[in-house]
Amino acid sequence: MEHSFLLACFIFLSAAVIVVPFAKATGLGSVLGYLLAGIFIGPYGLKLVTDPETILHFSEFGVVMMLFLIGLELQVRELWSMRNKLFGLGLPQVLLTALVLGLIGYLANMPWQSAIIMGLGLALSSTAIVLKIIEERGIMATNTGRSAFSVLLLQDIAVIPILAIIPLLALPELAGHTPVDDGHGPGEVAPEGGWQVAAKTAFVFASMYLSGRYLLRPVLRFIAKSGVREIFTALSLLLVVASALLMEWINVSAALGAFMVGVILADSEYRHELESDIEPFKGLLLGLFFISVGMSIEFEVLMNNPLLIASMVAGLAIIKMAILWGLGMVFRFHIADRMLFAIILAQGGEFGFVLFQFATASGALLPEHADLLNVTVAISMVITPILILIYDRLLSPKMVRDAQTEREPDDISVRNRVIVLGYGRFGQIVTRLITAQGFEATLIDHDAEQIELVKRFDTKVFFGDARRADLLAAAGAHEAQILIIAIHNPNTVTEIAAMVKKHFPHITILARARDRNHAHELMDVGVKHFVRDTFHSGLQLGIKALVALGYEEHRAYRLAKTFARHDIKMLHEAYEIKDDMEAIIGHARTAKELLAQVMESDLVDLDPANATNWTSDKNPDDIERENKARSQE
Amino acid sequence: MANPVLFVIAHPDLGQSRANRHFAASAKSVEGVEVLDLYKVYPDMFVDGSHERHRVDNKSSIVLQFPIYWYAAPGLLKEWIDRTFSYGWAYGTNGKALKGKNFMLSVATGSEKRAYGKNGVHNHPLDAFLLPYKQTAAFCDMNWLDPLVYYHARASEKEELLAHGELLKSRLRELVALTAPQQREQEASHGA
Repeated sequence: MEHSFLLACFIFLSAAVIVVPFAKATGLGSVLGYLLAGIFIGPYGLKLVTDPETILHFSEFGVVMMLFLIGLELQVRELWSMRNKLFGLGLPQVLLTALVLGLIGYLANMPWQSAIIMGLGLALSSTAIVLKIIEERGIMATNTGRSAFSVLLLQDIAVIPILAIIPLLALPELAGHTPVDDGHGPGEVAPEGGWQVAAKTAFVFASMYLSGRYLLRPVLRFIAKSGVREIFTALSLLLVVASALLMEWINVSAALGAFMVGVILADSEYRHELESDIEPFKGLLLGLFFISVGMSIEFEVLMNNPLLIASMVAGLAIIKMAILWGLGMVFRFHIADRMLFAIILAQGGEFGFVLFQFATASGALLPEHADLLNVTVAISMVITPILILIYDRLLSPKMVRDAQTEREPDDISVRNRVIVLGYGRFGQIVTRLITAQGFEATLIDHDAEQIELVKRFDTKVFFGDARRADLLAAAGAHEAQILIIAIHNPNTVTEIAAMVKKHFPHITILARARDRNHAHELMDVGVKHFVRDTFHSGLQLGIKALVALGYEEHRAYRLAKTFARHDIKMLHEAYEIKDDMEAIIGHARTAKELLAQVMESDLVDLDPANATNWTSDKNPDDIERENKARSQE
Repeated sequence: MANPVLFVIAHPDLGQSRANRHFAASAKSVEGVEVLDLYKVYPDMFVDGSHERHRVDNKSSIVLQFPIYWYAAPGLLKEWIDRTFSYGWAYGTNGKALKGKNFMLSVATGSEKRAYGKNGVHNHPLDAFLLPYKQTAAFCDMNWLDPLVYYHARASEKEELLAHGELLKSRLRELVALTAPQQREQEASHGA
């Protein structure tokens, strides 16, 4: 048992490790790599794994996690800003595609019920594949990325009503006959009556909303305070698993349940931490999912009906692309964007598998039809990365020139341009100044109590360990313009600065330095903008001290400015020689003397008493009289 | 209404200036005069325009006291005028806030009087250098009063300094007295 588990792990992991980097390097992309790996080790390849169904069910959890993550990303505000694309692009895409494909099925002598299901099932694209491609190409913030995502989101939402109407479409000849399902997935039809199901559903959604709103937050805070990192990870996974289980209990797609929990938590301060915790699991499980899609391609069905399947795949891709192309024209996408948008969504998706399975179980679809459709969907999923490859190599280079001149500006409002790490006494001052200008900043702190405290003042701070690149990525570091590191611990500041330089080289870093040595450390890792955290407040108090000693305000201020300029200059000079101990000591000595000179020269510059030429027409008597007058003062 | 006269002193090193310091002290001793030490209030030279407009709104006379640096006032006084005399307040549509106010300069120079003239090092009489202020007053419908000038400030005898201080005080008292009845009138008309 244990051996077979380890062996299975070994097979999957080595397939992924061997094939995926190779696919990536040759430009095939990771999705195609996973799919190919699946075909290699599957029942029609090396036969290393023979029950792809089990693996597929298991790895579908990767899709569940992905939807949880999408939910986390989607605040109501963002959702609202996407409403035009959601209903303008997404809804017509689903309806038109379902109509055209359904009509074709009906004309091909399918029962009308099955034709509807086929149309709807094939209209759905693969969230897993499309989002993976979008992520890999880094186009989430572009018009194409946002539009494709809107379509996917509407499709995911559409799954609910589709699942709801499938039982109503049961074929008369199959009515009453409910095949026994293996217990996984929504195929399990509940034996209760309608009102019981309704009550159960209402209860689950209500309790999910209430606990997400009121119970989860204190629990997350409690766990975060405990400081045991892996327990927070465990809790994140538990959340996803629990919501998936709950949904299965009421026969709703687990992915949708996870999505809803995600949305409920989207405005939580633990969002970015949850995101970066789930992310690696999602990545691996999705990979496993693609492998099992590759494995589950029924080459036997393909061999028996090669022409039919080929024309179904081609028809599916062409019809979907045509409709997407048309919608892209209505929305005035640039030709290069429009083509990518059409290609990227022109496949069947994992929800198709689920729908067809459920429809078969509900007696709305003949098993032989379901087999054909499943193979079609699986092959269309393999086709997409290949089409993308063709687009990249052959089509898009020809359009690049146009695209550069006409391309729509990236939607920078999607993410905040400013990220602030550390929302303590220092970070708060920096942030208040910036946000008062109308900028929105993403705030991250690791102190759960501090987060609670500032929440009372309506400030949203995300919980998380800012040393993690994945957390910063989740917080939008790829899109951010500046990153302010206002953390107290100087070692942490340097560590983060170095990490950000490496992973997000485009960001301008502004760092809080502790002292001169720390400033030098920051300069070592390439930070150009830093301020010693006590430097300016010390100067301010120095000004007040001089005033208290009888200096005039403006003079005190000017002296402090002179001092500051000198000190910053010395800091940079000392950096040049910082590895030479003798030079440092010598520099420190001359710096002290220099300071005295600088202060004096400032006095001379501005003291009008020295401008003797104003006082006289070069009359020596006047100068003498003036000096006398000065000495009296 | 308290303090009808605003006395603005602009000197970056008042402690080093015998004349200007004395005149500021003289102004302070006159009842009805508010003294604004610009470099003290705005040591960072960052003038709060709206605050200053409120300050001026209450006044019927403005007196500017400053040393002549390079044929003009020290930088902060220019900044104070730039920030305070804004569009829609000092000039432009509805910009009538300064209308009818008395406007007087009280300046100190380093050079002797003869340096300001055709044959002096500065080639022009001092009035020529005060022209921008005169025109500012005209543009904002203020009453331009003859400026008080204290030449050769650093080299002057103590008696001269004291005498000029008394002169300044009497001019300020006149302004206070001049504006007081007007205000009473205005307040009376407001009441009616």
